[in-house]
Amino acid sequence: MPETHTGSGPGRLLVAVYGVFAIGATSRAAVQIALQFHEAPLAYALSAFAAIVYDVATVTLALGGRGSRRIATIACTTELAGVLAVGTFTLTDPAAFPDDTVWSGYGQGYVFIPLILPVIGLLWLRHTAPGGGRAIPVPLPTTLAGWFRFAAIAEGITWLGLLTGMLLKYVVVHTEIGVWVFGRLHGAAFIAYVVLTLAVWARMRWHPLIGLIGLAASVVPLATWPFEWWAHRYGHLAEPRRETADVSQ
Amino acid sequence: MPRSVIDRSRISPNVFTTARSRVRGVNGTVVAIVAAVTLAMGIWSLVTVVQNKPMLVPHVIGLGVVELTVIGGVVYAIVQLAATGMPHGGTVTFVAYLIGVVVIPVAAAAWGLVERSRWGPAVIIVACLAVAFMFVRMLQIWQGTRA
Repeated sequence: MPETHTGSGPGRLLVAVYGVFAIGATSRAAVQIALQFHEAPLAYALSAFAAIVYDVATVTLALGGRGSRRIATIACTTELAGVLAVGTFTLTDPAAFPDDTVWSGYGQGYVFIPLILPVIGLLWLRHTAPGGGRAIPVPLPTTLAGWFRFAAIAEGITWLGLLTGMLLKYVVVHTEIGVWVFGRLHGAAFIAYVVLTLAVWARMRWHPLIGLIGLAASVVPLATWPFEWWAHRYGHLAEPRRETADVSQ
Repeated sequence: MPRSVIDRSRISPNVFTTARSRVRGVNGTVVAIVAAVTLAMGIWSLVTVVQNKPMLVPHVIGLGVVELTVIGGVVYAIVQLAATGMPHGGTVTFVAYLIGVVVIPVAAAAWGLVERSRWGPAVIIVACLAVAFMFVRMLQIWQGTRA
């Protein structure tokens, strides 16, 4: 089989490194939250989030099935966004981080492995994709449907970021930066999602009801994820030209 | 060889000058032994990677030696822990590391042995680095240099 599984070959090394980070991050987060959560709630909440991301990435990369690849792609993307966001937060607002997290200073406490790892993970997922790198919509899609799925996932991730930002602002540490960054990112992702939904609606000749549900999904938090999954699962993102070609044959 | 230098000049004095000076806990010697064994195993695995060979039965035996060394260090630490408690707090983190170092070589053997290419021994290198790093962290926790 020329096709490489995500968990074998060089992927085996990748999973091993992810596994070490998963064990380390999970045990560290468990200790921090159980014993000293009140000391630095933001840092420890992020530790727990990072631990979950590493656990999910390790397991899905090791399994390597079609569903696993999708989840692994989301996990690696979230991880990369997390390292970049937390790295920036720790430099601009160090007071909110009295204790280090894995992602503090772009992972400098761990020789920047946390920054490099998700990039290698995404490149590896792309390299091992069944369609020679085209079937996986991340990092950069090549079709309209791919861009739609990309925007739908990004919309959900930035929603999560914005919700986290609001939680931080009003409940935990009263810092504005989460809302500031993710507010802008979510605004961009929202506009991209709406535009791409309209474009796909026209291109794939969706039933008006599907198009309206797609647009409504942008308003409800995280609804773009199930909508994107459903649309893909039931063939609403397939090119209509192929269907007509099949009929003519 | 440089480990004995580290042992005497840097690590041991700290251990011997803590408030409970008669207690060694995880000391420089334990870390040095673990570091030496994992380093040897790591270099051997690196040679195997460079030779483009898969992980074989000798590597599993080597990992067994690493595991026995780690268990020795862990048992020693547990005995010290039971006798005196932690000198600087951080007991839960310390125990989490104790569990981690025992699990890692076994997991590496299983995960690397399935792979029939050079990437099997590459997994061993990661495991050896992780175990050595975790022992250094345990020493830091014990000495109170890092919680």
